[in-house]
Amino acid sequence: MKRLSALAITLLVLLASTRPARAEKRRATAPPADDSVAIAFIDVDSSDASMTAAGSEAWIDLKTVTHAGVAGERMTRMRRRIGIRLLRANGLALGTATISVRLESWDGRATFRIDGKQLSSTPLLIAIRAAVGPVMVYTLDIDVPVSATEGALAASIRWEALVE
Amino acid sequence: MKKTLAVGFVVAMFGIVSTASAATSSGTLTVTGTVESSISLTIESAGGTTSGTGTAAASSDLGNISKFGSAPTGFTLARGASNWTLSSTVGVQVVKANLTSTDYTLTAQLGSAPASGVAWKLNGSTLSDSAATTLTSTGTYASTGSYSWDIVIADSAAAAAIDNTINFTAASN
Repeated sequence: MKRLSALAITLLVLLASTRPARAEKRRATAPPADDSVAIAFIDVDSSDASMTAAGSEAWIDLKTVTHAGVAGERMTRMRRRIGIRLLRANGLALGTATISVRLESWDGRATFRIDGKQLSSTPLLIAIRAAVGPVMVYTLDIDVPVSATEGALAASIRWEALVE
Repeated sequence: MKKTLAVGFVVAMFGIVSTASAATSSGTLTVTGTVESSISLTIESAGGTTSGTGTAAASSDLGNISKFGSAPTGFTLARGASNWTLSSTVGVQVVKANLTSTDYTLTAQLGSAPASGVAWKLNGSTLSDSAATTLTSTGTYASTGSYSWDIVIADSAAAAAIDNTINFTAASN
C-alpha cells in the first residue's frame, strides 16, 4: 500500500513538472490565440486635434492650460471624448469584456474622471459586458484646481479589458 | 492513502483553474500639458446705473447731472463754492489661479483726456490719461477692494458729456 502511494505521488510530481515545459514549447511554436482581444483608441472628436491615437496607445496634449473661468470657480475643467474599440485578433465581433481604468502615474496637478467617476491607482470598473467590435465613447474630464502650482502636467491612464 | 488522494485533487484543481483564467489586454492614454498661472479682474460694483458688473467691462450711466439737480443713483452730490463733486465707490476684485503670489498691485488710468474743468479721482488721487495711478500695492486676492470715486466738476466747465473710461490694471507681486 505504501509503495502504491509513493508511486502515485511520484507520478503526480512528474506530471506536474513536465506539463509546464510542454506548454512552454507550445507557446513558443504556436501562433497567438485567435480569440485574443486588443484595446484600440479611436479619435472621436476629429475637430479637436489634441488627441493622437495609435492602436492601444493614445496621447492627449492639452498644451497650455490657463484658468479662464469666472471669479469663484475653483478649477479649470477640460473635457475630451475618448473612443475605445475592442478588437479580436481573428476579426470576429463576438463576445464581451469588462473594462476598467486606473491612473498608472500622475503628478497630482489634476484630477481625472471617466464619465464622472474619479480615477485613482485602484482600477475603476467602467463597463461590464462591453461588446467587442463597436466603438464605445467615454467622457474624460481633467480638472486642474486653481490652487495647483504652474508647471508641466503629465498623467498616464491605463485601460484594461478582461475578456470573459 | 487519504493524504495521497488529497494531493492529487489539489493538483487537478490547479489544472482546471489555469485553463479557465480570463485574458487581459490593456491600453495606455497619456495626458500632457502645461499649467500656466493667471489672474482675473472684475468690476464688482460702481455708482450710477451699472451694467456688466462681475465682468472686466462694466459701464455706469449717470444720466443728466447738474450742480443743483439730484445726485445720480449710487452717488452723493456735494456743492462747493466754485465746483461740485459726485462721490461714490468702485469695487474691484482680482482672483488668481495656479499662482503662488500673495498680493497684487492695482493701477487705474483714464482712457481719454477728461473734459476741461472735470477731474476724475480714485482713492483721492486724480487720474490722467497719460500715466497710471497706483491704487494699492498690497491688494488681497479674491476680496473686493472698495475705492472711493469722485468726479469733480468746475462751475466753469461747459455743459457737455463727461464720458470717459477708467482702465484698471492688476499685476501680481
